[in-house]
Amino acid sequence: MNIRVPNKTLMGPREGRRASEARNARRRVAGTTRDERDAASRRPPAFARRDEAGQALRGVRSLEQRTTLPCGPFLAVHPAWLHRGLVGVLLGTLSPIQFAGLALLLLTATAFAGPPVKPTESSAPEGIQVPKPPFSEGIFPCSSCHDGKSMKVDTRRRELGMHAEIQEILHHGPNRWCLDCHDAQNRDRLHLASGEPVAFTASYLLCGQCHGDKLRDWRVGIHGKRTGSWNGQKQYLLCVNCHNPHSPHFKPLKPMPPPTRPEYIKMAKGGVR
Amino acid sequence: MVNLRNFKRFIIDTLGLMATGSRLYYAWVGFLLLLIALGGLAYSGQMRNGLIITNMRDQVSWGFYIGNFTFLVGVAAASIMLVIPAYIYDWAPIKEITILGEMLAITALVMCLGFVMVDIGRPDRFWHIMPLVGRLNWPSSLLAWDVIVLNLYLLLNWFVVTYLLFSAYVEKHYKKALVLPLVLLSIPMAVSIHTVTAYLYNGLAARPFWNSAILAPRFLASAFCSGPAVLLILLQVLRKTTRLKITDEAIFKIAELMAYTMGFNLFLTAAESFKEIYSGTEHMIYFQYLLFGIEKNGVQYHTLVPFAWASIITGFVAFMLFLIPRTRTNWTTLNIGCVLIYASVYIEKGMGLIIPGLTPDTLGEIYVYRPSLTEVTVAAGVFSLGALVFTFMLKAAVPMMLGEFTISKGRKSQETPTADPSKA
Amino acid sequence: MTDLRPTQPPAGDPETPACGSRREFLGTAVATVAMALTGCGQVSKEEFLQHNFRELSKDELKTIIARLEHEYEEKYHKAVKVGNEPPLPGVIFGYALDLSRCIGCRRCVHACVKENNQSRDPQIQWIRVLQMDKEEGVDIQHAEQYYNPEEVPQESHFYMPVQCQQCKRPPCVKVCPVGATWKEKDGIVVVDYNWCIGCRYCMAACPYGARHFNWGEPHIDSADVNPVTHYLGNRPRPKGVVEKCTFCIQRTRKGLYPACVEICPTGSRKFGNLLDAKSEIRQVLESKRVFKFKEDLNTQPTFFYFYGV
Repeated sequence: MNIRVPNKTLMGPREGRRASEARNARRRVAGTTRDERDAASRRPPAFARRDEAGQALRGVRSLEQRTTLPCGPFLAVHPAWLHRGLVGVLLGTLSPIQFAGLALLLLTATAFAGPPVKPTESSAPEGIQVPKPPFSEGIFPCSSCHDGKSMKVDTRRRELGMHAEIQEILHHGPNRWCLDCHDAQNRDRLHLASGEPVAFTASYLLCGQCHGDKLRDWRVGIHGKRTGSWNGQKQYLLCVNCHNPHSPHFKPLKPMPPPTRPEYIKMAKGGVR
Repeated sequence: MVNLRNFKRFIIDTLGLMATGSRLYYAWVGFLLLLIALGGLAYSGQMRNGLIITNMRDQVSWGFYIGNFTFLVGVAAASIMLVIPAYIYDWAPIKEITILGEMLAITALVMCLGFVMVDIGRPDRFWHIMPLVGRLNWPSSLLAWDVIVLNLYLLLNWFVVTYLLFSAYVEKHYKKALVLPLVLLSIPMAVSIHTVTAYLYNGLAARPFWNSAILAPRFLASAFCSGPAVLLILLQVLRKTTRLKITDEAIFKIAELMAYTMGFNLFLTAAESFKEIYSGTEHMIYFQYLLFGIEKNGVQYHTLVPFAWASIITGFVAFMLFLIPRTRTNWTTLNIGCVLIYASVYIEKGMGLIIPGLTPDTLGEIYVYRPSLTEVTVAAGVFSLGALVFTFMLKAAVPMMLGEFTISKGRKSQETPTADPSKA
Repeated sequence: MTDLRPTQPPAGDPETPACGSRREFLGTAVATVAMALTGCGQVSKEEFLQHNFRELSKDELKTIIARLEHEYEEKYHKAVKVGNEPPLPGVIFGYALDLSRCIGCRRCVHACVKENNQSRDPQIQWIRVLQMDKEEGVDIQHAEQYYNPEEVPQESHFYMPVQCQQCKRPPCVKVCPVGATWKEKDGIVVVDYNWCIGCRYCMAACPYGARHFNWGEPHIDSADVNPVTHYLGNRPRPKGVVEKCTFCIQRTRKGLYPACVEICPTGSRKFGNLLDAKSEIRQVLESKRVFKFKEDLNTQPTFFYFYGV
């Protein structure tokens, strides 16, 4: 079996079960071509992302699952799909009446699909309030420079001219490269291992692919700093609010002063010992 | 006759007795008053600035004051050593002098209350601890029990002493049916005050040094061997300076009883030490700090070691002196023994109990506590207050006990040159 | 006792009825003594006579709070509000601290000091952070509180902050002779600063060193005073009384997190309602390795330590 393992994504010595599962999931994805992954990024987000009980995403869904249910009263058929053949086969083999019936069936199915999800990959489905991602000044939107016209997309691993200061500190596991997380085609997005784009406001989904236990804890509020009310609106922080994604190891802090030793606790000034 | 008028005269005459005396008496009272004044001055500074002018801090939150309090509760309980042979065994030689033990108990209790008052952070709120008026957390808090039993014991002793003296004053024989039950009651009460005080420490799981089952027996044993030491010396002084008849027999008997309690005290101390040191759990650290010193983070802490061994050695020597009949009946060695045992138990109950119980503290920190000048001065003031109370009581009581000063012989006997009001 | 023949009693005088005036005299005497003991009139009569918080009527409490606010205003030249929020129904607070994540930066200690109006001089800190060796584990005898390196966490050390554990069976409540400290319905162990007599028995009884005493007159700069206070919590305390962590009662009874939870930069502190199955504290207890400090003493703390990683 010719499985193309993308880009040496071996985890470091601390790879746990979840990480290896994610890695294996990616291996399965690797069966698709880059073109298909790009196509996937242009598709509307899968309704299937809203999986049962908000579990961490685990790799790809089959095409059948990743249907166009949320897309309203029409089948979103991208021309690219015709290459894949299934729809083409359907269109080819079905008689017009059979096709109309199938279309009607699918249409009624869509009627029960619920309101259309906005085509932004935000955290809204989970209802988790997060602050804005801590971008450096002026860096976002990335597409102001990476508009696809002035610069060619070059996915080769290399030393960059621009963003060198980030690449210098980039230490997020061995053999990491920018486009492992940043989406090559749409620089205003990150991408999951499946190729799915995620917005910066939902970057926790990306982190959670490898750090699934942390994502699980974070979702219920036991990972990371929380402010606000213990009995009301919960305010979360994004992973990147505390962990610099390019160099996530938590930096040591200068401790605040130690307590005064009891031998030195005396009366306040103005009194005699 | 026992009526209010005579009682009023009794009070006035008692005060009169206390107010007059020989030159030596005045000097002694003056000296005590001076110390009390100094203590009062130091205490006023403490009230103004707070307990921060002591050396107690969060880590060692009880110190010299409470150590003295604990020791003095033991002394108060020691009057039992006179009561038991006198009334249980109906031993006449001691019966005469039981009242002295009770007066000592009153003195000790006054000092105990004094030490508690100077130790609490808000003396203006002392009424909070009174039942009915305030809110006494009884039966949950052992301090609440302590308040009750100490005050009841004080009341009991005060009543018995006053009644006995008043009876002597009005030249009436005291009602045995009234006094005997009360005196017998004072036996379990004396045991109770020191048991409750021991339980105060004993019940704290947070302090493993105190949280040992034999703490209460240890307290009682050390109380019974140290309290009467004061009495023994006092009795000898009174014998020489007044006409009180105190037989050698009585003194030696008390000394003999003390010997047994000393032995028991040493045994209990050995038992405690063995359990901690041999088992060698983490709780050993407190005993280690007391007896051998400990090292933490490169610093040596052995402030208490010399005192701990001094306490053990003097206790043992005193035990020997009291045990061997030859040394027990020799006045020199007997008195040396008294001083030694008093010092031994004073150290054991004071710095040998409070400080190791609180050091290292609950989070492992070691704060070396030494009483500050304020604490020593205030304590001296409280001790002097006690001495003054005892002096006054003796001054009034001895003539009455001897029958030299009564309602009819009152002022006249004072003028008679033969009658020699005691100098305490 | 010497046995004497009773003599003829003299003619008795009529007894003077003195009951009423005796009581007045006694009352005045007590008051005078107390006044003297307060250091010559530092305590007002109302404060002197004030009863235990649990025995106060609503009106009495209102008067007392008004008096306190007035006193604080005079002292700090700031409008300090003394609240009296009761416990929220159906709430028992729980707290969990992640030992694998605490880096010992002490931001919690100082946030607590600011929030709860602790005396700066003499210094009082309700939270103590212990630095211990990873190899030794929780070994109190070798803990260090006064660590002050350039940066934390230090290699091979872990950090364990300790504060009031709000025990279910609090030994401090058991031993207080005047009932000045008790456990509220929402689990917080509180102190009535106007009832405490400063005997410090509770401090001897606490196994966690969580209770602190105002040895001297507490000093806070006016600018540092937090004006949002609770009667049983962070209102400025007088000299000679005991104080301790109250889970920021002035915040938590309004639904906010305690100050230490909010300030922790690593998110090591978790807080919530133990009775709410979906709360994060319950999540911690159900999914993490949790332990209690000095569990063998059976104080049953509601403050837990856990290992998040």
